[in-house]
Amino acid sequence: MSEPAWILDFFAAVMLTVSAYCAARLATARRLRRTLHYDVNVAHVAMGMAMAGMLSPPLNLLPDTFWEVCFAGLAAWFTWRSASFVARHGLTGRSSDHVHGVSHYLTHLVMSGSMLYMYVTGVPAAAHNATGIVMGPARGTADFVALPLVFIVVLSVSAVWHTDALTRFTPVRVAAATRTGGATTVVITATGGPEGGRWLAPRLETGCHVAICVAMVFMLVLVL
Amino acid sequence: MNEAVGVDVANPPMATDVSWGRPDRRRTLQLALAALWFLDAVLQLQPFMFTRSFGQLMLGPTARGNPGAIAHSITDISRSIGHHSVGANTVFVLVQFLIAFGIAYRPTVRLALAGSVVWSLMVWWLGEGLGGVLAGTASPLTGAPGAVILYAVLAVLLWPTDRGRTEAPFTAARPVGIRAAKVVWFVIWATMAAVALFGSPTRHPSNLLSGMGAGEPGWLAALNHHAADLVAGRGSMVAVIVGVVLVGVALGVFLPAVPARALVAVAVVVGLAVWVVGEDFGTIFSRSATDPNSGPLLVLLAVAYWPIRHAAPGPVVAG
Repeated sequence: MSEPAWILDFFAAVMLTVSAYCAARLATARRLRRTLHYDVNVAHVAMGMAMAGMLSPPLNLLPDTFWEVCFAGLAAWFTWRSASFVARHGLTGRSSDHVHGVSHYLTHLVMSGSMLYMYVTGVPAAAHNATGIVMGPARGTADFVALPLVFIVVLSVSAVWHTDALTRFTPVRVAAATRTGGATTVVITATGGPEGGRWLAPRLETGCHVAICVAMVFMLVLVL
Repeated sequence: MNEAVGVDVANPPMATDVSWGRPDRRRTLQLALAALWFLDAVLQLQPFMFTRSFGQLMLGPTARGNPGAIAHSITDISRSIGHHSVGANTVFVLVQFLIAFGIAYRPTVRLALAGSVVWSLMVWWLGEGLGGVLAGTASPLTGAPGAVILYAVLAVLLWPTDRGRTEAPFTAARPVGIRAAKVVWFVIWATMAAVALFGSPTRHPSNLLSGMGAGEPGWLAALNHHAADLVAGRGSMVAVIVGVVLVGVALGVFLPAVPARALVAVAVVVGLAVWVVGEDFGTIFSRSATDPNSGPLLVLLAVAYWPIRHAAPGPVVAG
């Protein structure tokens, strides 16, 4: 049974957009001297491109082995980052920054693991079947579904958790404005985030993360 | 983290306080509810849901056994959905995503919760045949009185407002008051107990469980078969045990904090057991699930009734 083609094309288009936008963020952040989660944006670029290729075979330009190595590397990176964070700050902490720090690395570890799972279990091959838009259960995983179920739960929670955090970055209008003649200059400053520094469009970064979570959960559900 | 933007305006905007607070217990439960709606929406994207079979083979049969007026409305709507399967299902997906992200995004939480109540009641009637309660096909082992009605109940119990002058003893009491919240809990669990004790399906649990394994992974199908073998020939005893446990849970919230906490913990265990053994994780692995079924919602409901330890008597909690 195949998914309507337009849904796969829609998700592929969204993933390409996310990938291109995150690549642009990486390129501009340094030039504008703005703070960025470089590792996260690199991961988003890779995940967006890979998922677009899974969803729409004409976009699958790189060999599966390349992506498997890529996501294994990202999984190893986020494992190391998670371990380093816990070693420095401990596993428990009540501040929102601490919670963000722990969940941030673990979530991206799960995302990298999900991508690796889909490649290792042969989802891209399934995506190429017959009409080119058919996605079916991953090869040889009929009895091994606990892991993708964990991925689905974590990514679903991450999507809503990050949506909740969107208001964290809502600009605060500073009341103490400077009045010059008839006009008043007001500085609008985004409220705090997990780290200091001038952040590059944090709400859009969160939006990219949520979009990737949606697409990834969609694909994992299809290949359960 | 700072993102500075300079703007020139003729009239300065009002200073706004958008200080962001870490989610409290109720907000965390709202986010859990949003995650379940999110999962519903994604499950609704499965290929089967876009076919005529979704309306005619999944929704249509829920009319059987219901009173005439209810059955006719279900048959009509399922036929109509079957004829416009792609368009109808696309609307279903969008509505569920809107509810999920509406609850998750703080400025729209009230609107989304209100919308979820309306949507849940519609789906409970037209999509689940009122959970089979009136048709005599319901069993708490397989999700009675219907998962979707629990979404509506949770939306009300997690409504972001506070009622009462004292700190609520559990989260669900905050918007509706202690007495009303306890009545809601009692009605839900007592209904499940009544369906278990007096409904036919629970007295034949072996049939229920042995029919669950189709399309499931081997280990889950094996679990179903073992459970079916275990209860074979003991249907009445199982119905009585399940009924008594559910009555105990229903009465739990009227007891002092310590036994109440124990019985709410039993409710969590019941919810998990129902989800794994009776519902096969909402048949999520068989590629035909529209939602994770009632198990996770029962757990969420129980957590909303978990007695809270207050350090000291305090003032009314605002918001």
